[in-house]
Amino acid sequence: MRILLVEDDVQTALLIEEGLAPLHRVMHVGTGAEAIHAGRSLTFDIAILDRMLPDMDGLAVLDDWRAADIRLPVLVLTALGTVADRVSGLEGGADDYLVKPFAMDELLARVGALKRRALRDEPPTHYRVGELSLDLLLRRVRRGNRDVHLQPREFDLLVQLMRNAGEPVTRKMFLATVWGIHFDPNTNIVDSHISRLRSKLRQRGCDAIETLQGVGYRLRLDA
Amino acid sequence: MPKLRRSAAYRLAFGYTAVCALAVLATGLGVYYVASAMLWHDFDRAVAGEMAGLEREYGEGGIPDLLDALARRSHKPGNGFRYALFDRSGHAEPRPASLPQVAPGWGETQLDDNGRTSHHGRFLAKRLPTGETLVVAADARDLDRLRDTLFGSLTAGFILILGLGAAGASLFGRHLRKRLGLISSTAEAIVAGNLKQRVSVGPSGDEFDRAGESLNLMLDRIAQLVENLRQVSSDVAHDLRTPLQRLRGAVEIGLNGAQESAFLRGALENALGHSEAVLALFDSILRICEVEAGGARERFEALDLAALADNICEMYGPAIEDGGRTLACNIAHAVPIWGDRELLTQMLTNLLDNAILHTSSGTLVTVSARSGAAGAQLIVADTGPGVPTADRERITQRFVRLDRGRTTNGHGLGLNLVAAIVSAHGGKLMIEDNSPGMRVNILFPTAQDDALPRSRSENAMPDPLPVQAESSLAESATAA
Repeated sequence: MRILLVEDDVQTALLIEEGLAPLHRVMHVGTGAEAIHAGRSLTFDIAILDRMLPDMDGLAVLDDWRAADIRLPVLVLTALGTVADRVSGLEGGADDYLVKPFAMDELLARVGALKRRALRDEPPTHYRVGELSLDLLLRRVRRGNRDVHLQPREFDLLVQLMRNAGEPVTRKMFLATVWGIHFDPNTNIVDSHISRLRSKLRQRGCDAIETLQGVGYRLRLDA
Repeated sequence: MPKLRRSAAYRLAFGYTAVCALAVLATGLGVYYVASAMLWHDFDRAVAGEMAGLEREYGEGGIPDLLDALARRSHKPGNGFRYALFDRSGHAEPRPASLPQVAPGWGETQLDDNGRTSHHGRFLAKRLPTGETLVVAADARDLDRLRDTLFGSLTAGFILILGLGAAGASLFGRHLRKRLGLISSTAEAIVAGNLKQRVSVGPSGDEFDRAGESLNLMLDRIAQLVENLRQVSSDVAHDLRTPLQRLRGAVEIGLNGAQESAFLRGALENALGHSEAVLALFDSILRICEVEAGGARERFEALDLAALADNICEMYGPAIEDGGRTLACNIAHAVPIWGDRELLTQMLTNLLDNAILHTSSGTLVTVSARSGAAGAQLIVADTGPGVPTADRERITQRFVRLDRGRTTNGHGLGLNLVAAIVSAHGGKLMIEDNSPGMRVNILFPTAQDDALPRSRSENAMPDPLPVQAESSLAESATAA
């Protein structure tokens, strides 16, 4: 996957490049002007865009791309973490927003999710992973030919896992997509919900939710 | 003088005085000229009238009649006119001439009193048809005196006004300078570092006092913010030491210990955990600052506190039960308030985090929300160890933790953020005794009625949350 990394801090850029390198081809630029040029003239799958660039606000780069009809999925990286900053970033056309400092696993998971989201033109109404199937319209989950009865939040968690099947979903991603909260509560509420979901799936003979220590969870493809 | 010229107060006062004096001067001159013109006009009319009378005499009886009339009128007591008649060759009739021979028309002349004194007079001369010249003059002394008196008093008035004005202006200027000087000397003292300095405010309540009061209020607010900032900085510096020390310790253990990968990995994970604690501390501080800065109000919307609390209960239910505690939610159907959804969510999660962090297994945690006459009420209570009465005020302050050993995982900011959020919503936070346990009782003002129906439809249409929250409530109720 080709990734455009727009980051003026060389140290940070090196760390990100190192993290992404095994799986992706990364092009790194350090200024907004270079970013605009690269985005307009080359093709990328995803852009990782820092907000505080030496020559302009990263959102201005985003504005330029969107004005030029470049529909590149953009993950905005920033040290500006207030609610107002996040809202302005997302309203400015960013697809995801990650506040510095972040864990590399969090970045990798979000880049993956962004890519998969971008691949689908329309969100599907039905997911199938192994023997597990989920219908978004009927809000029904089946393993083989038996129904799995889930609470609404358990259902939402499973949607995230199936949407990103085979890939990690972080706790922060669950908190943001399922509950719409963008901060870390002290209590690990995600784990408790996942353990209930896991035990309900186990009752149907499915043990495909893996815990990734310190990162989050992953649904194995052989569910 | 250059100092005076640079003073706006003096410039203002003297400028105002100068304008007033000029106005007085213009009025005085106007009065003076109009008055003297009128007086001279009347004077000339009298002279012309006398001349007309004599001409009538001349018309009736020629020169002899005229001479008669002249003799008669000259000797009439109280007559202020003087007469002279000159024949064609310039000889005066009667002799000696009391007036010099002049050309016809109006003119000024000197009149003498039997050769002793001379004084100002005005004459009218006319050539008679027979060639003689008749001169009628009048004593203008009284008129001159009147004019001089008028001029003198006007000048004196002007000088008086100028003097009084200058004195007033310097008093006024000095007053202005003094009042403004108090403000600027206060500002200078503050610049010099004495933040406690305040503008002295008099009892009169005039503009200066009011400006001084406003400035003092502004200074108080700034001082409070500065103090706040100073407090935060020192608290942060102090409270960062512990996690940073732990981080440093973990790194040192990794460096000094055995170089096996499993051991190193353990040390690194430990270090990562400590660095996350530092970051969490920073996040909380930034969050509190963001809320206290007061920008949140712009994002306020009408929302249902009941739906929000339901959602959080549903979110926390499993985690609370996993810890061997029980969660009971006692939430009314709809509790409309005006607020920020994200902040209120964070407030509730902080309260529930606290209820889990500071209580042991077997505790009952209760969340209730309802609308009352006083506003919207939200209560989060637990049956844990509770808070001693003496600490209830203190506990909402920044970095205050009741366990002296700091063994639990908090950083003493949770309730401080709750307090900041409640205050940003204009609400009231009370820490009470749940006997046993702790009870956090929060009162919010109710949302304005007009904002409510709109928000309800907004909330209900795109988001099926309330229904789901109810079903999960039912579950947690049966679980309880």
